Amino acid sequence: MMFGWKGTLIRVNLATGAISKEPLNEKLAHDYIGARGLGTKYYMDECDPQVDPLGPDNKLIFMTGPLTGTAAASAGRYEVVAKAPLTGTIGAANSGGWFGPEIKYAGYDGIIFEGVSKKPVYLYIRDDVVELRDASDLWGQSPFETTDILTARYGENYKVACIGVAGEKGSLMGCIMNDKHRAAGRGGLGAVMGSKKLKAVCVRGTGAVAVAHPEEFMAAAKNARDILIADPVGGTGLAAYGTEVLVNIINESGALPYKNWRSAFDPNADNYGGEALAANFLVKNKACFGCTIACGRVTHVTNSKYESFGEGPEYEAGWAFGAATGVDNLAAICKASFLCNELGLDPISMGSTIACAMELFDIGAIDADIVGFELKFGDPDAIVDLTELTGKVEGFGADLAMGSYRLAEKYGHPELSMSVKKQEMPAYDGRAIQGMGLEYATSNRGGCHVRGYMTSPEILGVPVKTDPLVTEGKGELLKLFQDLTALIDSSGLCLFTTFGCGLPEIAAQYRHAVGTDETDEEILLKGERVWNLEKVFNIAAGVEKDTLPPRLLREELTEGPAAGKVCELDVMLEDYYAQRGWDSEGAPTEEKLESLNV
Amino acid sequence: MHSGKGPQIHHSLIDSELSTFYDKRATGTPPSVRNTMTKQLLLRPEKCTNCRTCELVCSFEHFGRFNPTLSAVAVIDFAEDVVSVPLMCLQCEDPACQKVCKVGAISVEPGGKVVYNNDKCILCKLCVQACPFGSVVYSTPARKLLRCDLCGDNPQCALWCAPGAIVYADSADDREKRRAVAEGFKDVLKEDTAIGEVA
Repeated sequence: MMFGWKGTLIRVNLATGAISKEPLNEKLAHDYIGARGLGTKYYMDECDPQVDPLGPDNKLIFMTGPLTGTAAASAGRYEVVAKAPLTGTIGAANSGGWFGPEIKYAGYDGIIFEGVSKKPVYLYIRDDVVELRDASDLWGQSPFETTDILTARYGENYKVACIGVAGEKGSLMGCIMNDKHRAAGRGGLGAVMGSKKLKAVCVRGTGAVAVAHPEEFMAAAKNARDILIADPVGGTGLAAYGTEVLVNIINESGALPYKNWRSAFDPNADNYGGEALAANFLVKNKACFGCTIACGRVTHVTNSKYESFGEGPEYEAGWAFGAATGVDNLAAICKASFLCNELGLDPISMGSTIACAMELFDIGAIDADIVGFELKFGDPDAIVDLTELTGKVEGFGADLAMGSYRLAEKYGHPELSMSVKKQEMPAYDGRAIQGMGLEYATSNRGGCHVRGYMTSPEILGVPVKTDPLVTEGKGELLKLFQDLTALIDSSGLCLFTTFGCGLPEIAAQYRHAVGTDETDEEILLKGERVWNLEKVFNIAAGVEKDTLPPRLLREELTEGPAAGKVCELDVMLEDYYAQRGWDSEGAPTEEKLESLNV
Repeated sequence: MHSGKGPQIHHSLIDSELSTFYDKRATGTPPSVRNTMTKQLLLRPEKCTNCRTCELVCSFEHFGRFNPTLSAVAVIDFAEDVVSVPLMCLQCEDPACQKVCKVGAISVEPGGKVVYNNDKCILCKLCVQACPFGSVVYSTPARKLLRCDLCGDNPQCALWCAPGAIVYADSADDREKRRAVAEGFKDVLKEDTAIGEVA
């Protein structure tokens, strides 16, 4: 019997309809943990890195971690892994909610989907029963409708992960949504699911997850939770204002990218930050599975033409539809963010791509004939209307649906795409927070803030305060953050537990769940192994080298604490590669891979 | 492909390990010697974030594993109305479960705690039907009744509830709601004083 892990995977061939169950490879589980790490390892052992992401040979893997479904602090997460169509990198997107634990309770660690179905299907799981069922009636429905139909059909205890219209129609910013409002958001994995004609996974489990050292595990879990509850951010800050609490903090640091990153300070940010959201539209905060933080926002926009009801917006969505586009109308920002959930779109890529289109319009590279209207920075109607068009992949929305890089390239200005490896960067300017610039450039899934969240030490001072404007020491710190994040993602924990918890708390929960006597350092090494594995994939897939959009490297910020700064990437990259034990081109050396046993 | 087929529930899946864990725990707990139960489980649904940690730790306490379907506490969620309510047995002083029990397996201690005697219980499940609150549930895989036993005077649901939606306290000492009401008076009276001073 395995502890933490369930020890069984489901394999579904969508082309033939064949479903089989197989034992989890215990050696791989030990080395790559679960979720992001183990999913990537399974993917790489079975797929060619050169595969067409939207073709039949790309596989789509849903994988939980050994802590998923336990009482560990905020342990409700699962990961979706495939080659990402937006970036061509390894795609790994994780999500909270309730879906991941339910897979465990049904008796499985994960599901591997292969091939392409001839007609729309969904996977039905009730404990031992695993079947593909006809999804003709679900195709074209929103994640909300799909979830309602399936739970009405089978019962309210069923958990649903599914795609929206954006994924069905192949938008490269299509998400996989679960529990209606939670998203495995980035890289376009919803489009992979759509290419397979797989609409949903609907699961109910009545089994249990066991841990190896019950008493020690519960003590470790309680300790991690108590630390989080006592933390000013993890305990009260996120509960009171959600992730939107960051808007004013980041803006005051001169690091809130404004109008497609032309500057990094939004004079109107007060109008849509966490405090404004709480004062105007917040109904209640809401938790994912087993989480003390409860950062989720249930929001009801009233007395506005943007009247709407949903969850969010999160900080990133608030920024992407706010500062990035120059819009400060909170109701419109909420509405656009809700539309992303309804259509199954990644709001970071969506808002950023609209911002890019606004700049293309501003410089005259596109006009009202192409867009359908005058596309001005700051126009609240534009973010709502274009999100809808993009989700449906209609009109100008078909251009936007391919992401900002392909949009900007089509209209002759690829340099105006604020993306790394074709994925839009999120809400922290790498000129004002140097380590974030390094993070975006080196992230294994392209522009992303949750692969090594340097804002934590550089702005929030967690676990130590470092100067956001200096470059020294950032390589070493980023390596640590990336490895730790890979460990957290692979375990099934939420990254937000790092608002309070560090390696000792995370390692203790892992250790007592799976029953190992490995040291903290040995457990962290698994995170480094995952990071190197992902890099090996990207090199084999021919992904472009680590860099940033020219704007961040050449255009100095003009105001705020970082005035006069560009991102000094080259010097940080050199240091970072040395810290990683990689060569000067950023490739893991043979010796490094051997020492990590990748 | 078997489209349209209804869900199959495997009732044959009886898990002897669950049952054994539960029994060991029950035998290991000495009979309650308390004759006064001063604390009660107090529910504050307005604070519940629907994280359901209570269900997890309840199942763990009684069966040694994480399984929300083996929990004596259940959170009922009204997602559209953003309300979730944790519910469990609150220890009736004149319990319906006891009245229908034909083998005398259910008794009420002098302090008010309802005690189930597993040695006498024949699992007839009449108590499940009788409880008007739905707070007694039968688990097929464990072959046990799921009902709050206050975890030996240390209810895990309350211990782990971060937002404070479940609290184990003496309700006579619980002045939280009354304090909130009183604060309204405080504000009014302070205003009156201020007006008085200006006048």
